[in-house]
Amino acid sequence: MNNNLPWWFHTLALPAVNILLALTACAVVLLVIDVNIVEAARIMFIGALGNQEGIGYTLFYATNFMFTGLAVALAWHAGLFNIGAEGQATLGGLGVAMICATFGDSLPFGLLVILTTLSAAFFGALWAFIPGWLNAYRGSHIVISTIMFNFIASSLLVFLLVNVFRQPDQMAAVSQTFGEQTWLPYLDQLFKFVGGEISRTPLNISFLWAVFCCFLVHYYLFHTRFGYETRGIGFNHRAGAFAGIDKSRVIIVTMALAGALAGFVGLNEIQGSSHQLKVEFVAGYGFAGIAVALIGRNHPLGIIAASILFGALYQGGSELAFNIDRIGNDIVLLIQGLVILFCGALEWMVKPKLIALFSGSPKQPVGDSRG
Amino acid sequence: MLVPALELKDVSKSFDTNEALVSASLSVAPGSIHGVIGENGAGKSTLMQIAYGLEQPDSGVILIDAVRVNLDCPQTAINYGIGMLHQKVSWLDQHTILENIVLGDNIHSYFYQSSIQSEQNLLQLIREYGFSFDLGTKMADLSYGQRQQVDILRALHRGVRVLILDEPMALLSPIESGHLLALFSLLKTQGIAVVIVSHKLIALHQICDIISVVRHGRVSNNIAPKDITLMQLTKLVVGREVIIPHPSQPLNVKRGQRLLRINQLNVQFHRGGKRSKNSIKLSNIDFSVDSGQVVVMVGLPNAGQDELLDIIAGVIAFDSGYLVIGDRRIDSGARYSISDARRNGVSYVPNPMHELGLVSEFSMAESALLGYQNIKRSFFSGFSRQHNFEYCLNLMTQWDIRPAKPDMKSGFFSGGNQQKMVIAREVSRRPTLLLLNQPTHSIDVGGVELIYQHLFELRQQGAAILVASNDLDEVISLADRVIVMHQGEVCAQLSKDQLSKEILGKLMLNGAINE
Amino acid sequence: MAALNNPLVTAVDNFEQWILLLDSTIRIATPLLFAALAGMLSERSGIIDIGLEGKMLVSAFAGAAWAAHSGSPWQAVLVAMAAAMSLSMLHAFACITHKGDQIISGVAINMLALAITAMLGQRLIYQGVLTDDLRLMPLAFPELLPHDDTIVSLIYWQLLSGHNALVYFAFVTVLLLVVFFKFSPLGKRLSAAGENPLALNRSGVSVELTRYLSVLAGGALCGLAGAYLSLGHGAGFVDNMTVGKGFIALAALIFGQWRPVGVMLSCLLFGFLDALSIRMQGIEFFDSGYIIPVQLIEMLPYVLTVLVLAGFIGSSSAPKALGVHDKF
Repeated sequence: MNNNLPWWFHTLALPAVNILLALTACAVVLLVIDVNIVEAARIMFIGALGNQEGIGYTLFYATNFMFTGLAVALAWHAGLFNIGAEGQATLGGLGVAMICATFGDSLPFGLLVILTTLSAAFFGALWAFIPGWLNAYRGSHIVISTIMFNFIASSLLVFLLVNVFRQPDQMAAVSQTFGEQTWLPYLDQLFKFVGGEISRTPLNISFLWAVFCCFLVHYYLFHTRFGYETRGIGFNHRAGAFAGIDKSRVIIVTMALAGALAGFVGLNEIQGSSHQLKVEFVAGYGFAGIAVALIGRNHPLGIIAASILFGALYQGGSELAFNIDRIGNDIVLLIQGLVILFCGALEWMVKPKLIALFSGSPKQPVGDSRG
Repeated sequence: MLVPALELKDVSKSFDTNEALVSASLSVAPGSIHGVIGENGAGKSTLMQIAYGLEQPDSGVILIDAVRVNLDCPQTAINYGIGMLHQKVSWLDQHTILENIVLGDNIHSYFYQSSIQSEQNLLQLIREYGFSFDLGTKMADLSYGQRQQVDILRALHRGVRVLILDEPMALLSPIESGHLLALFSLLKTQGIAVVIVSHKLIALHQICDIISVVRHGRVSNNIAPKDITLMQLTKLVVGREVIIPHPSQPLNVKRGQRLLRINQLNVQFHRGGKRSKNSIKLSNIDFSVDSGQVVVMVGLPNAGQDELLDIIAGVIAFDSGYLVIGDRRIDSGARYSISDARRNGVSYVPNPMHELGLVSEFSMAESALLGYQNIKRSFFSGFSRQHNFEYCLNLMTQWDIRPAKPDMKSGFFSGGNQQKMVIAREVSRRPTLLLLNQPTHSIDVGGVELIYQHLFELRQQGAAILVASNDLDEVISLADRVIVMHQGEVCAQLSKDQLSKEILGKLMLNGAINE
Repeated sequence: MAALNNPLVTAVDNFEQWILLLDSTIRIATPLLFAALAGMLSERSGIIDIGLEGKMLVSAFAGAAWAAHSGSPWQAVLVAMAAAMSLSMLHAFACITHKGDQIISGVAINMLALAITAMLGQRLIYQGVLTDDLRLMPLAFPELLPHDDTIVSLIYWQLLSGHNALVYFAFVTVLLLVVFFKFSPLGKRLSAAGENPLALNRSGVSVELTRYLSVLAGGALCGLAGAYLSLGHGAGFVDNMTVGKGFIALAALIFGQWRPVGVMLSCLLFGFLDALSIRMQGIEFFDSGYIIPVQLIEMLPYVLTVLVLAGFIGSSSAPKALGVHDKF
């Protein structure tokens, strides 16, 4: 019906309007709890982007969002709703921790990084492969099984922490701190190497890996026949079947790849920043990936931008919670929820009106509207 | 002049920025059969949706018995005595006819309602109109035609006075249409108006008392068919003269090269679960198609044609017997997929094309590659977007697919252009065996002309073409040979000179010429 | 960890321990049952409801807040229902009116519920424990049966009586829903909307309206689940007090095959597993030196649901049009 919209409509205008709506609703909530919203906005902005440290944290969070956003978006292109990035990231972290705990002292760093990367990918992929397989061959609903796998993953993590990883002298359910030789280089170390200087934040080289993954997924989806087949199945699996595309294979491969991407959260969180396995290290990044994918229009390059935006919101929100005691970290969750609501669930409330606004096309007779 | 049972006056409607109806008017007299005809996209469906309360007009008024009404939803329209039979009938298959009909009864209490009164009313209607089914029968056990009759029964049960039928003949054999016609004349005597919406000129020309032509969102003429020839009517609908080509000239290719052989093929499918009585069986299918031949399969819906095409194309498996395609023999249980079929020179145009042949979110350039995405592409070569674009543009020029924008999403093209693209894609691969299911279903006359030309050209080059069609006019203009299917069996094979609609109709319905 | 006070060993010997276990099973199963029946109403009409968790949380919060404010626990129950129904309304508005994605809408509702209750919770005065007169108190009818040592009396006093009214109402609801789906015109339409909306549309009934009704009714039941948590089972609202109960309810809904009685049985099973895992914290298994890992018991409902969903246990019979946007 409408193909005469400017190119920036879907990529910029629509997400921007959605975010504005979400922020407005958020401002209303802040007003209700009696917070000065101008002051709040200033704290968030300065906190996220006002100084090197803020930017460092913003990009650190953005790294996680890129991985989980990709995990949701890639599956979306195959017509699958991957709500299980949370559990897949948990398993990925487990994979990283196992390698660090076992080979941390014995292997050279280069080899260790390769191993942890593979292990994060493998365990993340495993946690998505099973629901994928169950969907392809047993007809299980992918959303429900990935939700269930999130809970199974978190129980499994607690079980392993309590029974396997816990240090004898520790009360809390955390693993040992892995030796410094296993740590991923921080980005300021890299900068020092080339002669620059920035302040120390948890930002580490997995950020670069995340950006690279976005480009990799972009190439995969839009420039290879696997990507073509994936999208074909995702948009219209019946036509895909008549085109000779193996739907089961597409589902399983795509889910496994999505899980592997989510698993990389473990690299950033565990090998890059906290250097130990904790109970809730995934902290909702998997669910946030849904919001990121929505704002990024499920496009791998859009996800880079959306992740940085969410990184900034996350970091700004933490600053806000730190500075104003009426606000907790929940503010970030609120914004996420509102973004998902306006951008996803209520997509068709806003979109037609915007389309009508932006397309000033002349009227032309086109008939039968039968579905 | 009688007061019109239903009248739409100066109705306009646009969707987004497109005008579907421009000040259209329609007046239906009680006790008449009123045809509404137009090409796809002319606006006839929108007009009917407004009359049934599914869409609200932007401007204009609706009058029932000269009283202005506001049809805000189908329920209101039903209460005013408007009934609609949709092209796609849908029922709760596991429930009885009675349960299905009372589901929509006006309810006084959400929590308890007796259906005894409805049942008595229905029994009386069944007697009055001579329907041949029992209220306790499960929906799943009825044939397509019977399901349509239940639809009419339901409309009568609700006191219908204007019955709108959307493409009622599209899926019916001439004989079942015959039953329908008898029913229409019975309805007429009761003063019930029947509105038939269709793009089938010939049928409407025969049965209607009056015809309205919808073109570009305007209702232009009210014509009595007896005052006008079919040719003139065609010109009114399409806007120009149309000649459907017939393959009159003898073929240059030497016959006898067997491109498809089906030998004693058997298969059984279960629809709606294993326990369902409603299973389709193909038994002892045995025929062949040679190069330079167009063979057309006809049969009632669900006689097994769709499944047979799917089997030949490798979409579904079969139980016993074998196929020979080119020089490759395929036994039951052999690994044979649609990709294998394509490698063997088989192309398949499934039905419905816009759902099974295209991905509407893909650009047309991407859709034009569907099914051939693996050909001549090495592992890392990726896609040459430039190559796909040019390939698609080429097809668009050859087949007059408009607008010629390969970057536009497939779904944005009109239905007819989507269908042409699917056929164009498959024909352009120069298959040795081309399978088509309902190639011109819901395509308008101009498009049909072009498709036939291309098919005959392919046949001239020595391809074998196997078509499934329910359109007897199409069967007669396309076929070198006709295979009639009846309840999963081939009941007759007819050569071109044996064809007539009467014979085909009898064979389709009964499986034999003599009852 | 001596064998002396090993409750499992004693439990096997001691009938009373079993009764107590079943008693806490019922207490734990009640909110699950309300929420799962709420999900059933919505999903039988074709609308996926993964926002059960969020709706429970919001209604638990609203109920507690209103009880503290008004002093009437029964008013508070109504407010809790209204709170959950307003989220249901949002879900219906997004999914039915605007044909939005049902799962995305559910995710959003869960996130919003968690965030808003936490943010508003910090601002409200009632903080902390509700006194008894603000809660739904246990019902007991001592005149029915004397309190003595017989088994019947034990069962009556420990298991059957002494619950609040919502517990009994939950089980009555199951019965009502069985009748509703089997005999009422609305129940049949509701099932038709989930099985074959096109057929319902063809019979002239508004699929949208039918679905709105069922989603809202689901909201009301979900509100009871939340009210039970903060007014009955617990004493007041705690941040994220549902801790995944909404998802367990979802699991029970699937495990119970979208049927009232099946849903009730699976809620009781999952409630039992939960009650068991609470009693088994750090307990050795028959003196063998093995500690039964509580997390593995906690995992069971989810694992069982995955197995049911995959058709390894029974056959999964989801409504056919569940989550499908219909075109007419």
